[in-house]
Amino acid sequence: MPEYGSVDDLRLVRLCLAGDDAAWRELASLHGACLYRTISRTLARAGRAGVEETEEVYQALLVALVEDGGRRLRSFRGECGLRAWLVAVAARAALDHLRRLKVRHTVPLTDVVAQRDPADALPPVGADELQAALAKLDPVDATALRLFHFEDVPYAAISRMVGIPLNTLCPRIARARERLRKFLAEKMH
Amino acid sequence: MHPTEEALARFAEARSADDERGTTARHLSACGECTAVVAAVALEAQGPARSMEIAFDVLRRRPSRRWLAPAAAAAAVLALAAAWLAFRPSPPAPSAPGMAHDATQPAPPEDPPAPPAPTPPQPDPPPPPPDTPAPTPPSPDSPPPAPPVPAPPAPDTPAPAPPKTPPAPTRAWRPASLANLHGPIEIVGADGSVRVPGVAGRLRAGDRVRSGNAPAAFHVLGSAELALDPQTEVELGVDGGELLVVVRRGRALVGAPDGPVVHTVDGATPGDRAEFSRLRSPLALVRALGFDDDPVGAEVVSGTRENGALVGRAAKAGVPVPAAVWFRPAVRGSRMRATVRTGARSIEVTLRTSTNRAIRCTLPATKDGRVDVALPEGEDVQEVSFTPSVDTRGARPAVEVDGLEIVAERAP
Repeated sequence: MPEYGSVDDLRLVRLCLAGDDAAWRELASLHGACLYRTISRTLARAGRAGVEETEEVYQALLVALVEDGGRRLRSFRGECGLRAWLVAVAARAALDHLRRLKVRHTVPLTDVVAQRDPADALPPVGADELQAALAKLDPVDATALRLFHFEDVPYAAISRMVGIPLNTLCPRIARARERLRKFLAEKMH
Repeated sequence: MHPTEEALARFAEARSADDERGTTARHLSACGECTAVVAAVALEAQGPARSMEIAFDVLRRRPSRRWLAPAAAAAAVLALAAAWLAFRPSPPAPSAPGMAHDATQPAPPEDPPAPPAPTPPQPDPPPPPPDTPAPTPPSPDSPPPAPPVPAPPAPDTPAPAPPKTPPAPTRAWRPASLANLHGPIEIVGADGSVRVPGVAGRLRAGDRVRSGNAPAAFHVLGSAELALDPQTEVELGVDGGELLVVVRRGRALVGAPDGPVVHTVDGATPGDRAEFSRLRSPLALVRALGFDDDPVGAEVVSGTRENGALVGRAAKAGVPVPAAVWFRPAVRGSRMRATVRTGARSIEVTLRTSTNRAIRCTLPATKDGRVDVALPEGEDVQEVSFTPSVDTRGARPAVEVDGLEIVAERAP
């Protein structure tokens, strides 16, 4: 079997699109487990951890990549890592599946609003109020808050994504939380 | 209009151009779904220090029949070929449609180890060839060894002697990518070294992994390591298709091959379970082990090695304590630092060791909230909690912990 040990992403994709079975096997071998993991994780966060459902979405993803002469795979342009793109596609597939099932991804509000003295405790806020308050924040701050509190992405990764140094990001997220709290408090009062 | 998957992946990889990054960030600030996609890419790239996710070679399983019907012939060939590849130790022949693999059949118990199939691009040292002694696995403290590279024979030298037959293991085991994990898996120590295959895929309850008389490194898909102290016994089980590790006795250290240990589980009792497949933080592990029922109090964001010391930093604030961190026995000079904000006048800091000893000290609440506590020499602190003093009304104010940091000097 040909070895693809160091083949770059685009070459592997080209070979797959050319119908090279070995290339497809290599693609599956390299990335299949990670795609399954992504789907499993995305569904699990919505409270749907069933293996059957995960496999169903996974198989649908494989079919989508392969069918129509690899039309889906053809959309990869190599402007990011292949694995990163595949993970994004897999996550999107899982989210589409959830949307079809009308399953909402929820986040406990206690993860977003800092705990305070009970005397200062805010009344409960709904998801809509929270989204409206988030929309008032600087977009980068709101994105960082979402990634951290809603998605458990670590600070270091957020720092790289949004382009803010790590030692600046932490206090910035803390200040954003404070502003969020103020927006919500104003809304309640 | 949502960004493309490629744009979202670029953002997650921090490869976006400045203007694109701003546009994507603006979109993400208002779109939970795209944020989830970005997070999925980031978390996958983050690797095992952040979460111990166990992947499954689903391609090994027989595809559901309804998916074979439509134009899934290509997908079926793909799935079956990959499954066939995964199970066959010899170089693969071309696959044939309709060649099904029955994943439910148990494997014969005494097969010798087989060479692994291609593995994902993780820092996973390959198993040594059969005629070399099994390498001594790295201790959790040491950096991972470079993958062994057998030297090619010089052209004039005679052909190498045929490999010696390795001593038959007491029980059968198989390398990760070829493992038929429906049978018992056991790692048996020999000559002070232990050969531990990686494990991937679906396991049957009752599968066992046992270390021998030396620390063992147990690779999980090559992306994480579960280092077992001598005589540690773990049992692998399945729950909903995810890998569970039940620590039967001893200590399990979990970390990345090229990173620090971020989880240490001590004092586990039979029946305790660690759901490594869902692990996102040490506290998820703590909760799974029943040591702490409270919500996440602090979260180890990353651990690094600085001058030989293990440093864990917890950076998530705003959630009630107790916070829990783990690190190995401290020597003189080790300290715990945090920023603690509270309306109380003083805070009682309690350090609970792995021997369940509680060490307490009471500190006045300072203006900047900084807490800096010297750790007792030799103590292996497992949990840190912060309890504010009661106020004049008898109520206990809330407390917020930020930037919890343990600087543990390692014992020589």
